[in-house]
Amino acid sequence: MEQNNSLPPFQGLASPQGAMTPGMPIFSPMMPYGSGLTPQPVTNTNSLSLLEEQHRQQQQQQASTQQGGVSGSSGQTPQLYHSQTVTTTTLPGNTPLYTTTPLTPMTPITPATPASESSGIVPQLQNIVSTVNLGCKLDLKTIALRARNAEYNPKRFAAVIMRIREPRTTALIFSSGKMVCTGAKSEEQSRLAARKYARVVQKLGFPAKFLDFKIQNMVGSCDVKFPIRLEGLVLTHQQFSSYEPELFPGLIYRMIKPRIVLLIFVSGKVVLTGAKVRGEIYEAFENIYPILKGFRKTT
Amino acid sequence: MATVGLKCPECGSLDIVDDEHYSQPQLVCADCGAVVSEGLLTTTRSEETQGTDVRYSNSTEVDKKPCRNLINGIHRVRALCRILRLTFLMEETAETHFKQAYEHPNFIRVSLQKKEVLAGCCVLATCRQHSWPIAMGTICCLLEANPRLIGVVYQEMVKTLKIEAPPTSIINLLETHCQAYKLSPQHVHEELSESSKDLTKRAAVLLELAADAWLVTGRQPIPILTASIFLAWQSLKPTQTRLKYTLARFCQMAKVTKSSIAPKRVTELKEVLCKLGQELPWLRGDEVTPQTVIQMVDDILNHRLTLLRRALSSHEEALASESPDTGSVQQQGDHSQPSVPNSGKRSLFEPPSVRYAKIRRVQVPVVEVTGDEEISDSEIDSYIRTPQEIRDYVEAKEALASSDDEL
Repeated sequence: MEQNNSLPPFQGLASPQGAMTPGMPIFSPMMPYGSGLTPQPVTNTNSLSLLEEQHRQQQQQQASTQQGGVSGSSGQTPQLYHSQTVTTTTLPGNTPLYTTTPLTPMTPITPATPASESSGIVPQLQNIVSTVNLGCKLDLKTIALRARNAEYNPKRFAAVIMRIREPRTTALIFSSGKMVCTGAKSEEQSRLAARKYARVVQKLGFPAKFLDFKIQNMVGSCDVKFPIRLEGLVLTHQQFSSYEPELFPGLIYRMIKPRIVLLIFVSGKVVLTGAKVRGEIYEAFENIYPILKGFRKTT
Repeated sequence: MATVGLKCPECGSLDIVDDEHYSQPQLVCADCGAVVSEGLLTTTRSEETQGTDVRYSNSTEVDKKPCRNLINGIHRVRALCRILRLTFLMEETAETHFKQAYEHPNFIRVSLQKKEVLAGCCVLATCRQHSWPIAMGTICCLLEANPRLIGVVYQEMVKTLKIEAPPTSIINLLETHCQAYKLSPQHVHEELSESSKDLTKRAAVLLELAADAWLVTGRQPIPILTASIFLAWQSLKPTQTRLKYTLARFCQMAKVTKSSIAPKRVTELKEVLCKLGQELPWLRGDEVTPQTVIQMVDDILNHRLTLLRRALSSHEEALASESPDTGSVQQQGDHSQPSVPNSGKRSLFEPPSVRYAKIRRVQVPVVEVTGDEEISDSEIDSYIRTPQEIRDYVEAKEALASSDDEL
């Protein structure tokens, strides 16, 4: 059997025409819209309808059974998390879902890192995507006609794109009555924005409700403040990482627990996405930080 | 019941059914079995392929004769392997990958274009598994396909087949890349020629230096390879003729496609060399410019470790002399988050994305909300058009539509 190892591998086309940097990264982080099983946080609401009141109570029951018994990871002090941590007002007579101790991931999977090793860096949330069901069929043409902040181009996309100024968000409103709200920087802002959109649709004459509000995806980012050797990281964590400099300048790290996708760049900036709750982002970052520190190289 | 109103001539029953006798359609009476009428015995080719009730993919033909596209794909994989002169074992591996991927539900229904690209991706994955250095750009060039599409299909294929294909390191790619440069004495003038071996050796050292200086991570590999080979060529014999050559002219001479990014890499690499060249003791503090550094590259590379150490120490000294002034400013900085400067900035070399950081959009301070605040009516009304506005809008739209019709 002839072996071609002695021959030079390939002549003539090693520097191909297609070597220009692609204009845009080839793939963007996954934004899963799957039906998560994590229960949604309970908050008191100015219910739009009795139906929602019942629904809320159901959610509370679900959530409280799951939440009971989860203790915070030892050693983490309140200062670990930024003041932006959720501080929902507790409903009178109900067990508060979020205690005054910092937010903890629902299912602590990895052993708790002692406080002395914590990074001291808190990822900032950049985008929250949520969905809600307005509970009635909508006439998109009417909405586009009568609302100032709406655009509707049925040939391009089968939904009305509506925007509000405060909180600065965008909503996609479909004729089935389902709505997607994007652009908020926190869970509460997303909820407030979704309620405002529902109120606008109500004022336009539709019997809109506010059912099944659910956070579908959260994106956070932070900076570890040192450059990272991506080539080394992809060699040691091959089963989780994908680093193709010809396609995208960052390394894509798919963490299994929690199920988060991280984009790690040479400058030390990290983008975390795919979370359903804030705690997953914090946990993922605390998991990756010691790994990244290992690839810090000071020349 | 095939046709309404048809009566059997033999027994007079109305129960006539469609029954096919092999390939001949017949109308038969269900009671007495008499053949009422029959169709043509032979069929045309198009009727056979398009008139069937059963789809090709559901028929047994699939097992007996493999799909034409699969055969074409395997031929393509073999052709790519022959062009790249891969070993027999690698060719077989690539074929196996392709067959597995093709028949997987993720790929069986994709467009033909993607199937073509899949062949190239299988070859790429095989090369990586066997540590055969090949860039994705090469596959892109051979298939004449969109690099984005190749990226997408490659990622999906690797995920579907669950294969581990470690990416090629850039040093391994260098030798392959170097072979493409036609700089032997038979191609170019003797003064400009250079042996591939010397060129590769010098370029490898330059590439290592570039990698240490953060010029390689996160960037396209081909431009930096081109840049290091160009500088290697210039520095191996830094005569005036060679120094006068620009990168574009060099690529033209060596019959290699030029890229728009490689000149930037050349500049960055020269900067790094200047920083090190500054530390050469026999220059006694003379300024090293990008123009003059090429002649010194030989010395710089031979003593690069020493020079690196010296450069680092002098850089630290420079920082130390600065820091008593900046230290106090640091303390007065914002308290919201401990603003430790990126340690990359303090070291001698830092990734260009850190050094030339984009100016961030001014962050709007996050307002604390509970999500359940009262929503004022006035705010919502501001998003709804007044009746007058609606009328104006409708009129304007009609006017526009009518003017379009006239045109």
